[in-house]
Amino acid sequence: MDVALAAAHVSIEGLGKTYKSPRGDVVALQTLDLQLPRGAFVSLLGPSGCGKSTLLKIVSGVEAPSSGDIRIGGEVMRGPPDGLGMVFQRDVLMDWRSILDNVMLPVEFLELPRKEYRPKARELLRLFGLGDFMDRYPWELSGGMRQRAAICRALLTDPQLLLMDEPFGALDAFTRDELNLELQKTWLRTRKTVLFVTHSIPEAIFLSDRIVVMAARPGRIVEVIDVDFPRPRPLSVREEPEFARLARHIREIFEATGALGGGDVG
Amino acid sequence: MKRRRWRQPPVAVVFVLLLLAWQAGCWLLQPSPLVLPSPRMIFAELLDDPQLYLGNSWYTLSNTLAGFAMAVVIGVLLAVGIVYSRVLETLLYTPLVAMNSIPKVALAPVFILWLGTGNQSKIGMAFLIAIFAIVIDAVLGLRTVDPDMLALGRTLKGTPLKMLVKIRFPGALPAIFSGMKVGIALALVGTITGEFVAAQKGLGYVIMSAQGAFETTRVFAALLILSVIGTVLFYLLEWAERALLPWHVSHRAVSAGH
Repeated sequence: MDVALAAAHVSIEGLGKTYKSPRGDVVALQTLDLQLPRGAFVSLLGPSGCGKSTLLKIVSGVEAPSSGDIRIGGEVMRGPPDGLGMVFQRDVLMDWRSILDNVMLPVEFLELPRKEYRPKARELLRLFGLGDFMDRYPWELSGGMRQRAAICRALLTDPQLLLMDEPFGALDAFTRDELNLELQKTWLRTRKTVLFVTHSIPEAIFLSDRIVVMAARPGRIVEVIDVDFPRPRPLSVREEPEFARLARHIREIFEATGALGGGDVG
Repeated sequence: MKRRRWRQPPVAVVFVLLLLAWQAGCWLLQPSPLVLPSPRMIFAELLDDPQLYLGNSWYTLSNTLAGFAMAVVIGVLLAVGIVYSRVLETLLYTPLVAMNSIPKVALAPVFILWLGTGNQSKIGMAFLIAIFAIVIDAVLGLRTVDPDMLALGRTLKGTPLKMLVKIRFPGALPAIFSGMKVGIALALVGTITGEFVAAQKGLGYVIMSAQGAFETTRVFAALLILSVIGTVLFYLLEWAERALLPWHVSHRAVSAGH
């Protein structure tokens, strides 16, 4: 699919971020442009310090850019946009709320009708295999289940834009594969625009329509790669030669920019 | 469950064991009752005039609870103000922390001058001594909120009130409770201090007047009641904490489901 021609849902223009510090300015993000086509799954892939999480925070409206604009549906964004779902690396569930009440949090914050959303929350939890755990507390669940609940929370109000900040980074490999499949299924069903931050090359290739490869010091985009494997993709797609070729290509970018192996350590 | 019981015997059992050891010590060493009366003598004293002890205990207890309740309400409100306002932080928090290090007991005479020798000065002392611990712990609890949780609240366009009520305050409850547990013991200290300085009623008054008359048994009877009151109040708070915050880490059963 030619994502470049699809309508841009999120358009990032001339965006930069510099942190002021007593020892001088630190460039977290060099001026960059990026388009997120509506309904596309886009990954930000790079080593720590490449600014991928900063970029996500700016798109979420939690942090302000030093320069440039973000347009969502053509309108310049000021603060957190409407219709935004957010998933963090840690599940950020509230210990004092049951799983169901955690998932209902956005409804309470956005002052939507609880009666209408409660059945939706239950349905969503059932869909994510948490039907028997709705009335449990977060600490009674495993890491994978907790992250599923966090995804349910982000999906409940049916936001059009889903931002995910290394959501599976803290999970073991099995759970991670399982949730990759589940996320793909959900995305195919709902076709939300997803911006997904990861430092795993295979995860980025498996999930994405488009991978934005970033490098550190200063944080910048080095290459944008479209991924065309047909969907739904099985986990075995990772053994295909084309997959390996893409992975090698990305690894070579990292080597060239000093993120992997090559001389420039630090 | 049975095993846990054994490892951590109920407070009442420990209390009774201590009294038995004390009694045994008195039998063996036969100290003068003017120096150390035996528990048997103390209980005889308590039963001799229960009206006296009940009335004075109630006076001390009610003043302590009144001062403590004020300290909790005002302390938590101050903490919210301090966390949300730079101005209040510089005006209140730093002086509060500085003042916490001065011996507040020395302020008792001032309270008597201001509020008289009645119960107001006792409530005032209980309040003053208890509020520091509560404010300091509540500020700490309100501040140590997960930054990602605040970010989540902001992406959901949370108003400051929503952020406080749904994120900061519930997260701060364990810290507030630990401040309250320190505060309740301190409130009792405050009340008794007030009663020591000037009073016609209360367990502190009983102790002071009995000491003047060399009635050591009566002093110990009042002390025994005080220790029971202090312990019961502390465990009531602990019980309330368990009931209200079953989710808190320190209370979780070992059997997490995975």
